[in-house]
Amino acid sequence: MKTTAKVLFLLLMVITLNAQVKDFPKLMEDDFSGLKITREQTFDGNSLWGYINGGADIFLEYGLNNLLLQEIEVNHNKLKIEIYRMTDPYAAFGIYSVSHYKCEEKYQSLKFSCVTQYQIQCAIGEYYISIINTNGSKDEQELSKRVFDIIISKIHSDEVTLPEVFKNSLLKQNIEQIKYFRGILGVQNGISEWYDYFDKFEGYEIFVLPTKLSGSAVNVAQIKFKSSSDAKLFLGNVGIETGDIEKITEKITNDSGRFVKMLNETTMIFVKSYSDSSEIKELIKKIL
Amino acid sequence: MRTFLNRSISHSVILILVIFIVNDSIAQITSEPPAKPKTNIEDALKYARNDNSMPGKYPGKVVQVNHESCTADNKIIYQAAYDMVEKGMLSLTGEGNIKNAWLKFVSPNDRIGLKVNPVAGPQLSTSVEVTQAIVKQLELAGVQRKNIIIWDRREEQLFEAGFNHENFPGVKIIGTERPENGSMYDENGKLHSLKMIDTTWYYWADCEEKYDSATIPYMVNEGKYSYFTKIVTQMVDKIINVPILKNAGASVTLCLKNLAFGAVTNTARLHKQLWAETCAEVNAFPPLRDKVVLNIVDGIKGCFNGGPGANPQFFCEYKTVLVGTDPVAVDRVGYDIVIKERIKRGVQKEDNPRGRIFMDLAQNLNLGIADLEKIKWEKINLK
Repeated sequence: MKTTAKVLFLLLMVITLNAQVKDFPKLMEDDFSGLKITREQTFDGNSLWGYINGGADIFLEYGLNNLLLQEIEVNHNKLKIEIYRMTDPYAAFGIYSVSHYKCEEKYQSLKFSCVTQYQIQCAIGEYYISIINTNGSKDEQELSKRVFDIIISKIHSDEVTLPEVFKNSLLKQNIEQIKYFRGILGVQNGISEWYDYFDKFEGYEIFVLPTKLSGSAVNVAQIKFKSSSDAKLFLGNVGIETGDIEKITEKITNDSGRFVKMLNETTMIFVKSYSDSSEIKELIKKIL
Repeated sequence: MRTFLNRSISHSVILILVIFIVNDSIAQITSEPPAKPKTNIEDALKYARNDNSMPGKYPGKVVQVNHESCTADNKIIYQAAYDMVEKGMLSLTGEGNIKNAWLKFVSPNDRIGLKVNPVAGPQLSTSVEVTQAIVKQLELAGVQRKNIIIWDRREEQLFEAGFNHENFPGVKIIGTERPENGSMYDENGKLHSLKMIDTTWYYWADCEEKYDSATIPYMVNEGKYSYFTKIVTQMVDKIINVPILKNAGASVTLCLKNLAFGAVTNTARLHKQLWAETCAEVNAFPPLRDKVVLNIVDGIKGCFNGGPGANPQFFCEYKTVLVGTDPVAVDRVGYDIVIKERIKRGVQKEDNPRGRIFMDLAQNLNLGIADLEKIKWEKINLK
């Protein structure tokens, strides 16, 4: 009986894994003529270490199901396609948010996409996709876009919704720079000056927008801790006297360029300003 | 008797639960991170140092050679790379002749290992050009190509990054994790890589990770031991460390990291909890401490963010080469360059001392100098 159960379990695992790989929105050789797939490999869970060694840690921190790697060649043009299936759309968005920089354009109507000479990236549903070309030539850039079109046409997933605070018109200008973290590696990669704020915590979620208000740098964040005691400890660490956590719920506190508004016992909007001007303070209060 | 036993068991269970809950509560209230796992660093410190031991012949000295025209059309110009390495060696040693400069560190009969970093593919690895320049200059010092080994953990990554026999004729290219006849396993299901590890030298740390079947060929073993590769313990007499200038979060992955994580097995378990400690402590073991005679950082191309992975948006051309015997001092200078670039590009607002912890740990182990004010940083600009 036990053996039968084991066999059934293994069979189920194999079927599930096969289904996962089969369902990948991957490129097929018959997607267009002349396309040659020179390498195809799947990595799941910690086998990502086998592919990118220390670079794997941040993907695992966000939550990775598996990665499909394809290398293709079309008329001597070569591309590397990485399709990361993360555990959920927020994990995909998080990785995207710390992986893009100075985008030349968005890809058509894709909200979270970034096109540069050598790379196209996007977060769509639970997928983070990166297509890298080898020489930045026009031919390879066009090929990248063609391949990207085909892949995203095979994905039908929900996108992430940003917290309400980021819909404020004062924050629209730099909204492309918003980042999302679930652990210290994300913080270290995305907003390293906040490392000390978070290195003693775990199980948190942070959306943060580094932006400017009236020319001055501010970081606007929505942070959700796993417990009210963590939230309280955090406020203490950043120099905001809290007293009872309940008492500052729905209140705004301002202390040395740090502003906080509690949304509930575990979630807050936290703003760090690098200016003491009263104009900036007023603008921040409008955001809160 | 049975009642007594039952009561005892019940009480024990309750006691364990109470301890668990109390511990958990304390952890939650204080949110203190768990203590760092213990390691066997004390074992390393028992071995006497010798003349070759880190920080080598020139403690605290780093030569930075910049060359504005060392790239063209996104490619590295070999002659420029050669000149940069040559100038760095001459300035480091104070010699007027390149052969004599190299002979300060190697002898013609030495078996030399060049530890490169090929992990991020051809676009973000130690360059073929800088490595070729080093090989050429070693030859001038009388070292034969058959006595030069280019090595890292993963053999297939070496080939992918251009370390092949076409680019390096006569030079041995080998990784600890390597296939034979197209397979990582032999006919008995054992990893070929097991033959490459020296179980008499190990870094022990009280943490472990389970690896699946796809991962184990790249980790070689599970458990609490990370074994040194025979490449460093048996196959070479001297090591020249040739990392690439790149970031790792708000820190860097340069000399110490390249050596430490490149020379031992079972590394994934060390990344999360003991990154800084591993970078420092593995280098304190004699196979590295007493064999690494030079560090030449290839900073012609590198990255300022996204490292250690390869993300083209964060690639940059530092157009520099760093040379020194002191891996800590070279790392400290490289760190300064990378962090300044990150701040300039707006991915970081200010330096965070946490990024320097691994260098401070290495300094405490007498492997080199981490204090920038005590480092003699010589800058040379070539045209």
